Amino acid sequence: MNWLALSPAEVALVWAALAATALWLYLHHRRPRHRKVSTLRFWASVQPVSQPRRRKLREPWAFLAQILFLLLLVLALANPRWGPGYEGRSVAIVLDTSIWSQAHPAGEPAWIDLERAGALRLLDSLPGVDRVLLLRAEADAPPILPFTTDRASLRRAIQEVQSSSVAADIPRALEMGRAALGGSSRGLLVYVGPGLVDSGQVAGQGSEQEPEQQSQQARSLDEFRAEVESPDRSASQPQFLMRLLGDWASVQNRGITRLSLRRDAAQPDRWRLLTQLKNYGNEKADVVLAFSVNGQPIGQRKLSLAPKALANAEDEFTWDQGGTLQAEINPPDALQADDRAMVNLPTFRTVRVAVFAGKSSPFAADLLSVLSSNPYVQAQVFPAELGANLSPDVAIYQGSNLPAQPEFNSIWFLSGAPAANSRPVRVTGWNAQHPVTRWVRTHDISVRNPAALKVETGDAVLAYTEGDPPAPLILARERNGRRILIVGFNPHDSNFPLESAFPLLMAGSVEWMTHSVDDVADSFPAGEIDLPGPVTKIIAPSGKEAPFARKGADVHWLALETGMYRIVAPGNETSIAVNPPALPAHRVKPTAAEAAEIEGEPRPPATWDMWRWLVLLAAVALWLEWWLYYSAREQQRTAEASEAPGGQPPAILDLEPDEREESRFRNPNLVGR
Amino acid sequence: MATTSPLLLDREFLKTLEQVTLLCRTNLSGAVGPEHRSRTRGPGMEFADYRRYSFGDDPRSLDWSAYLRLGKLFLKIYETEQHIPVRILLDRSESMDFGDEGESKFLYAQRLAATFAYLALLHLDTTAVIPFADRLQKPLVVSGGRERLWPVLQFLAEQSCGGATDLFASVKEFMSGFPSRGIAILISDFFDEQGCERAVEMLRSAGHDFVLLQIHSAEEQHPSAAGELILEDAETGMQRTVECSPQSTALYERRFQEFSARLRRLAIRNGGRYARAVTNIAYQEFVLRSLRSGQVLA
Repeated sequence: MNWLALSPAEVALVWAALAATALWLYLHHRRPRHRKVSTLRFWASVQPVSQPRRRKLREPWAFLAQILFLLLLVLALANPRWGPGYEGRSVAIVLDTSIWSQAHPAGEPAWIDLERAGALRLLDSLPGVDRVLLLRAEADAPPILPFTTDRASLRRAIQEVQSSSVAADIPRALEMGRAALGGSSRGLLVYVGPGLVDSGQVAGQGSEQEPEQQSQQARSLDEFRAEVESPDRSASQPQFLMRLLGDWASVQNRGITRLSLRRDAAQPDRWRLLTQLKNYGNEKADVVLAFSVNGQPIGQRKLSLAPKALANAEDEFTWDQGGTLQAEINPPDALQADDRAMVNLPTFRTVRVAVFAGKSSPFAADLLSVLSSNPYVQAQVFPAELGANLSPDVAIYQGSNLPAQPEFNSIWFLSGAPAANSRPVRVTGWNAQHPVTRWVRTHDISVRNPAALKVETGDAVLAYTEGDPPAPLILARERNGRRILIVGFNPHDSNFPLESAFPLLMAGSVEWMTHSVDDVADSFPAGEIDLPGPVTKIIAPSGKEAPFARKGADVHWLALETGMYRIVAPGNETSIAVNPPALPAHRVKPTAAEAAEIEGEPRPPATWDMWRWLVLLAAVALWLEWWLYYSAREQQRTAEASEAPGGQPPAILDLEPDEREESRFRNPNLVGR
Repeated sequence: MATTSPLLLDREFLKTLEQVTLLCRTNLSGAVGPEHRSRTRGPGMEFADYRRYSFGDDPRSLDWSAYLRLGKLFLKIYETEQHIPVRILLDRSESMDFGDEGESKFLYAQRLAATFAYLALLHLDTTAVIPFADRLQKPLVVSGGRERLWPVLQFLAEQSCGGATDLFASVKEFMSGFPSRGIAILISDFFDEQGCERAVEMLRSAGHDFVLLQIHSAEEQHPSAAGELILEDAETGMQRTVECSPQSTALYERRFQEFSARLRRLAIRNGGRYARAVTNIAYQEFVLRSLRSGQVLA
């Protein structure tokens, strides 16, 4: 049993607080009750309570027994021990519950079961006074159980621990364990798991392969081991042990390490699919890679994977709706968690663009030729008077007066008054930061009769002409949720339609206003994920709500599961796919010191738990308090009764002696004669 | 004070009362009638005693059988049955609005008043129910037999508690309103700050055959409260803070007993009768046992 271990100061504080409460209760007198009576004449001889009585303890011995009881109880909670002081060792067990712990090679137990058994064996070999901390090997994962000596809780936590779908970051977890043991004079840090570190090849004596290129994770691990195991290590360094489990040589695993999509530029419903696979085993493997969207198969192919090699597979398919694309490899292997991956297929939607102009106007002809080259846009020309009856995604107007509150996302071509001898004006600068003009770089554009645009607060100037100062030529404006592009010249009065920048400008404008096109679709690897905010809720594939941290407007969370996560934001909900990451595949070889037994501890001196006896004494004190309290009350009553006038029950004094005798048997309703 | 139901008495009890008579101890002069028993000797149906014949006695009352046996003239004496007015003075002061478990002193007093009124009407007497507190209230005077009980019950039901007790002023007013002698039954808790001696002496001096009927609750006799209390007098509104300890409760009970004993002595000393009723005893039991044994009823 583990009681609250209080320090002497805490014991004194808690006891003082409880004793003060007990004292107050002993001194507490209830407020006098108000009562209406038929007459006060019989109370007249009773001494009135004229002044508040000085508060004094009426049962001092009972009170002393009470505070003795409280002291004993608080001491019992503090769990003091009789005997010389002994502090157990602090032990941090790093349990590798990463995705590799889901491995279940044929003919062997699942690795997570091996880890549980190994951790329990380790726990059983530790003295009962040792404080144990249970950590996960995944990066940023919270501890499984904080420092405790409660073996039952530790056993339960180990037996209930589940595998995650995140790759392990062993050096980081070990650093965390070492930091947790930092204050302890004798620490023990134990890693229990398959001992697989990140890609790259592990250097140094502990690797199974010769070094060629070393990953950051492997470097960190080597540095950690060098610090911990150096012969001149300081006393504050814990003993570091590794308990590697599972037969790595027999594991044959192939997995999907990446799945991404790219939309065809010319055909919006055509997708290019890139699948990356890895063979983690030592043997060549032939696999079948099958694809399906929303459960409907769309194709498969055979692949031959060389040992320890990555392979890319590129495919194409046509799909004009949204959904979930899933890739799966067969036959199943030791680790099935990475045999499938999924990605969210964005929905495609054509943007309706209405050009309000005369059908035969050269302006409309120029625009239609540009817009029709964009496969994501469906453009039509309408007379200007039909504007009130339509609701296009984007409206384009020419030469009209710009309204204060536009009804649609719109592009306005305004021009200045034509002059007979006007000369062309060169466009000298483009705003490369704005999404509309991000790809426009040309300086060979000149325009005639540009309009004088007035820049309002919040406007972004996208292009300006020569002059001192430069005059704004194109503005981007946002009003009441609508986006407006104001172009200060007539395309027909410029060489702009002849330039490649014109279709880029129009495409950028439509995309800025509608966000209609997702060119790529990708998935996230399980582990730490950052998403742009705002986000109110993240729901994992299992239906549980995933905790997340806010980083300004963005969010950061640890995705421990694979599958589709629902991201709930104010006003909308999206989905993202989380797939298994590229797995660490290099097994660490423990040194002799790491594989050694736990260093012997001096036999702890015999101590004796005092709390049972303290509870017993407290019970005696409690009984004593009750006995003293009631006996004191009884004595007080007796004393008061004996001090009462006459000291005897009231007699009927006006009766004769024989009548007094008789009155004892008479009805209380006395009748005189 | 909650209004009481007009039906203050149950039918079984009323039937039992037909066997009961209200006793009058004093020689009161009143209209002679057939029903009421009194100590007045005279023409009547009920034989009372013999006495020696003296000159002037009515020879119709001579006992000739006795003369034949003894050779002496003896006169048979009968108890005269008279119409004697019965006046019931009912205390309706604020202090009467206390009692035990729903049976207030006032309700108990109302029941007793109704009982006495019924007994009077049963024997064709005239009865007056006179509520009082610090002064006399409008009385109800009825006669004419048991059928007249209903107005009495209605009148009693209309009464409610209020005001302080002033027995002397009320009795004084009663004297002027009801000068003829009769049976006066004073039902009260007698919690009068001025005392009740003068009122009782006035009743005696007027020649009334009076009964003091003290009513109190069990709680008033043995207060059960404990601890510190702020007590408020229901009639005067005065407050007093007391510590209800066994000691003070014993003192209280002693004072209460002394008060009751003093009241009893006062009644006896002035030739009246006294009875004490506790509201936790059923009124039927009090009437049929206590009042009978106390010779208020026969």
